[in-house]
Amino acid sequence: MPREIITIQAGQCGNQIGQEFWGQLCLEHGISPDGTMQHHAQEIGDRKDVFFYQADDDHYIPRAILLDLEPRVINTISSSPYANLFNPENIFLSKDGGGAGNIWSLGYTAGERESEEILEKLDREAEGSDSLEGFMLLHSIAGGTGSGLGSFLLERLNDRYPKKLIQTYSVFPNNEKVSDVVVQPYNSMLTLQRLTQNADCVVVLDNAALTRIACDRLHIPNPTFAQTNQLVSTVMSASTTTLRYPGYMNNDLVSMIASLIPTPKCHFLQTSYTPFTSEGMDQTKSIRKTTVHDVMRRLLQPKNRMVSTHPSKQNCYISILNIIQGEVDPTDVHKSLLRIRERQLASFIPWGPASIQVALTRKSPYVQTPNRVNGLMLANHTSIASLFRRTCDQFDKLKARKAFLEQYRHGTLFQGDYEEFTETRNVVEDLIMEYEACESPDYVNYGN
Amino acid sequence: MDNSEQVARAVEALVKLLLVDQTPNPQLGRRNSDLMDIDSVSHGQTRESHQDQDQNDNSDAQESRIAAAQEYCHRILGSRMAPSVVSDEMHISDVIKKKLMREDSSSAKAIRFSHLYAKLSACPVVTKKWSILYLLHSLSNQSAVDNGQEDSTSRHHQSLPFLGLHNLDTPSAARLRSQERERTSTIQSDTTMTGHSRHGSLQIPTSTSSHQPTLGQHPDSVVSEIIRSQMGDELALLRDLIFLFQGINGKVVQFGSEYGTVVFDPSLDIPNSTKNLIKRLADLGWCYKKAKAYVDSTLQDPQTGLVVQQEFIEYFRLIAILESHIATDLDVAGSKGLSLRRLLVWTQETLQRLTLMSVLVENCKDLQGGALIAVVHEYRQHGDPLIQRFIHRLLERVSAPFYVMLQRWIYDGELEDPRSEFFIGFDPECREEDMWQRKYFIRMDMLPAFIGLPLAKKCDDGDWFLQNHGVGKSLRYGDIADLESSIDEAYSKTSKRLLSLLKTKFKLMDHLTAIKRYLLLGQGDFIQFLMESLGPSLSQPANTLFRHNLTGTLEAAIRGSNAQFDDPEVLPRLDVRLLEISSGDSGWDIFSLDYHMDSPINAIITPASMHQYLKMFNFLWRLKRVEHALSNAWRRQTTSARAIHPIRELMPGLHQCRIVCGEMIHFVYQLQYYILFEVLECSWAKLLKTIQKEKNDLDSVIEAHQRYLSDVTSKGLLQVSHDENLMSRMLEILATILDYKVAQDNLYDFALEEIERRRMKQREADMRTRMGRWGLTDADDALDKIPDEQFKNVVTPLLEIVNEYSIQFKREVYELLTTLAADGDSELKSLSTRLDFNKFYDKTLNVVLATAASSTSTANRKSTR
Repeated sequence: MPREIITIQAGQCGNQIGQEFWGQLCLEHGISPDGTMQHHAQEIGDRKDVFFYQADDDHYIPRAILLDLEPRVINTISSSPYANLFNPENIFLSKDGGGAGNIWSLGYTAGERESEEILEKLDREAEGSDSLEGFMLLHSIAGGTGSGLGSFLLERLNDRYPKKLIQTYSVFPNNEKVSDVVVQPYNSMLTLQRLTQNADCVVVLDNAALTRIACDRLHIPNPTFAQTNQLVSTVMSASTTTLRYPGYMNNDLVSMIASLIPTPKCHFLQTSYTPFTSEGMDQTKSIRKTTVHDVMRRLLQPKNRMVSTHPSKQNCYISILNIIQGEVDPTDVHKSLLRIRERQLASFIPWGPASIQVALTRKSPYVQTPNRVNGLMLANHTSIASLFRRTCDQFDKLKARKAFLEQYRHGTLFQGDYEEFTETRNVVEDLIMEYEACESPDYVNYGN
Repeated sequence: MDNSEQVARAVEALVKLLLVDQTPNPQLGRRNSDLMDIDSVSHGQTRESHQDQDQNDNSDAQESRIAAAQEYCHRILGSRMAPSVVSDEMHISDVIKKKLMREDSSSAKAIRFSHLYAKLSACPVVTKKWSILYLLHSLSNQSAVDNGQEDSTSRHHQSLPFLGLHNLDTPSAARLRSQERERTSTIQSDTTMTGHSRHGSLQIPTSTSSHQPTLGQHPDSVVSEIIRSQMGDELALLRDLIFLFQGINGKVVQFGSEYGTVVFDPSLDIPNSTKNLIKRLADLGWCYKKAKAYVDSTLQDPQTGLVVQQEFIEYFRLIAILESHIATDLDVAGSKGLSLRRLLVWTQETLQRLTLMSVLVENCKDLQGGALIAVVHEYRQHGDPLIQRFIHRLLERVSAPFYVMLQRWIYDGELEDPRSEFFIGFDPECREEDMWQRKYFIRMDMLPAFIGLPLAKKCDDGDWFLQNHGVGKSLRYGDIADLESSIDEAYSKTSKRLLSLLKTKFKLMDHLTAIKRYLLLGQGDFIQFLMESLGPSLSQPANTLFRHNLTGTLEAAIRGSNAQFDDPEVLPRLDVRLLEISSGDSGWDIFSLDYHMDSPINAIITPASMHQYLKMFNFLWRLKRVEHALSNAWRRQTTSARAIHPIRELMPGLHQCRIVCGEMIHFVYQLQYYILFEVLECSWAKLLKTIQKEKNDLDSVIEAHQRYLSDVTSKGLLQVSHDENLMSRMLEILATILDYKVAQDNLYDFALEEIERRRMKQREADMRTRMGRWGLTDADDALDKIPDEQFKNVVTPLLEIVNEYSIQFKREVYELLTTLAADGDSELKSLSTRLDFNKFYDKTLNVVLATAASSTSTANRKSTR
């Protein structure tokens, strides 16, 4: 019963991240780009069948569905060494190939139009797994396909698999600078509504923060999407290590996020990762003796967080899970926790018990990293509301000008009026309010 | 002086006491320098001899001496004079030193004195050091005077100095005075001192200590008179004594019926003093007899007897010499022949040896082998170098067979010990799994002191026989360091080999890892599989559980998880065990995994420790079950949140439900993190470190494993040393969580039913609308509201139950934290730190408890509204 997870990657961003992610997984499990096992003799205690299934004795195929409305990225994948990794039946390309043109409603409508084919792929994949745990959607919320088609899928998955979990890795646009996609706030808001209502766990990744981290940590002046996507895939693979290397705890998705998300609505997680290394960096400089405490302390620093938020004093952690990889002396963990507690490096919710959970996992023997220890933090932090607030503000501004609304009228959801926008705005506002309420001890009685 | 009468009487008594107790010693003054040499002679014995010797001389003079001494004491007391010296210890020692240097130009004596003086001053028991020194000094001064005087009759009386009281008429009175002074002033310290010195290790010359018998002039001259008068008798006595020495009754003198007594031929008139002498000499014969008896008794086990026999050879040689002397005496009667006294002196050393031997023989009577050696070895600590040497010689011979045995044991692994004499014992009835611990054991009573327990422990290891070619050094008594190093060498070699065998061939590490993975739930996917597939059947009553079904599931779990890749050596050992059923148990209570252990690994992982593991498994399994239940509860909450969203009335209740559930998840997770990191992993890391250490032996591995296990169980709250309530509280909390989960499930069941009802209603209404009627009429229940009746009868009780359990949970957690805080254990403190990392309970628990209680009522009020 491997608790399989089916990955759905939608749109340009989703597929790019996905490709990196699968590349990383293959590397860590010793699977070559064509899906065959590289290291037969070795048994490293990993569990490949969460993300892969075995076509034959030594052929692994990702449980992944690749969706896009325009062929560019998928064609890139098809011409990459990983072309034969994926099940070709699981790749969906819109027949017209015109894409969604960065319009949410076009993506959503395309989803409706092609729902039969897409859902058929999903069903087939779901039937192929013994004990499906849930779905993992990779997408960006700014464009057209990932956001629109993604939103459509979220709604459908809910109906179709009401008892399965839906986790998403959602890349938020860089809303700190002017975007090349002007309707981005609309797209973001509409997707955000679905993420709030139809997903169970959203790992928020923010392009602004990713760019900043690429600049600061990796010393890349103008990081490309490929480079920031690399960061995302690192985070994704790290956050799934406990699933892939089973240990005493956190062996399935539920047990991982159950402790992170005490109330269903507040399910937006932020991540931090340390230390990042890139191949271009000076190797000698980056080989450092990192201690557990170093890692745990750095993970709490806002600058390492992969979401650009504007934290206020009232912000607090609802929960934290640190996944630490590498050779770690377990006694160090407790010492570090005590130090963090003493110095009050993290403030927690006032309405319930909360603490830093630490999961230690093995490192894949196939991957050489210059660091002895590295760590990922998954945190449910109320400062995420500021990101939503900013999105709302931009949305409000754009909406007030009634700019670019025309293109959204085509979608089935809108039917000429913009009720949907109002609904969306309310849902996101509720979400923000709930996060803010989390900062007060009265949250226990919230909603009374 | 009003009470002079009383004083006089007291002095009289005292003097009598002193004179009877300590007859004056003629040699005391004269042999002052020799006094300092007395380090070895057993005081009691020599003093006794000395008394005997003097008795003849003094018996008649006693009366007058007492009178003189009494008068002398009166004078002292009457004169109120004190010696005109300052009691300065350093000074008197200097004076003595100077005197000695004057007397002897080589200054060897002075050096010897200062050496002895250093010893004396280091002695904490003796407090009146000055007094002693002063006395000795005075005595030696007197001896100087004494040497000049030839008058033998007055010699006794002038053997002590005047001590500044020149007007005293009897010098013996002066001596008495000095003794008196010392006696009265140091009465307590004196008794302790002599009491102590009698043990033989203190080498302090006291006034009562005596001389070494030598062939000096004085005793000779003293005795000569007696000899002259009783020459014929003496020769007969001497001859008899020679017989006595050999344990044979003589003509005139015969052994008495009691030990140490002799019977004289009543026809002969032998003076008492001679009788005494003979009695003392006969001791030798007694000792010999005793030793001989021992030798005879040990004929069937000749080893020790032989050794004693060897001693006898020397003894016989002495007797032969003595006999020849007697023979010559017959020829040249008179002058320089053998006398009783001379005999006494000559046999002194032999007597000592034989006495010692007889004492040894007495002590060793029923002992054998190692124990015998142990007893003999104890005497090695004796301060007298003579005795030491003797014992050493004896030991060397006595222990020879022991060392042969030891050698065979160490190098060949053969325990050749037909009479159970070796300090390693063998338990033929030992069970296989106890082989290492019990099969060979140390017989404490057979352990010679020089081997030492740690060294012996090393020898007590059953698998010596594994491989030990080579060394084969011959071992013998004396070189213990050498012995130790060769044992060490053999030991470390064997240990290394043994451990490497255990690790490779018998896969010790694999088994330990397997236990950690399966019994301590380290293999998460396997446990998860097991939990999920067993869950439904374990919820059934215990008596419906069948082992074969469970083993089938176990197989499936192995196949379905990474466990399948585990060592084929390991997997078949994994089994299901059902604990004893007591009524009312569910499957959860009696299910347990088991791991079969067999020889030789079970020397380390003993059945007892397996029992501990199973206990640990039971607790962890319960915990896992609760976690599993909570995961399901959470999944239900999350996935049904969307569906039941429309039921507005339930929202507040559900919200609180979730928060409490979150709290429970936090509790269970933190408890598990605690167990994982602070208990399992830490202890495991320690164990690995110990096992992988280079210098290691099986015992330390066993010990490390035991420590690991006790760490795990004690920190894992299973140890009884903790507050008893702790574990039961923990289990109560877990039970509450399970109850809560059921209650919450009921609530969600109801909510889903309600949603279903609404959907049906909606469909009905839609149908009616389509048919042109009113969709909903007053008769129908509302679409967007739970019917009041139902709310009151169903929802409110459901919410109440949920609330009840959540309050119960909070209260129990609070109590647990209080207990933890009260417990001093630092590990438990870290548990409470984990459970309350953000100090939520610390700050708010009382408030929460209060509000929780009131919120039940508010919730009720709200829901009824």
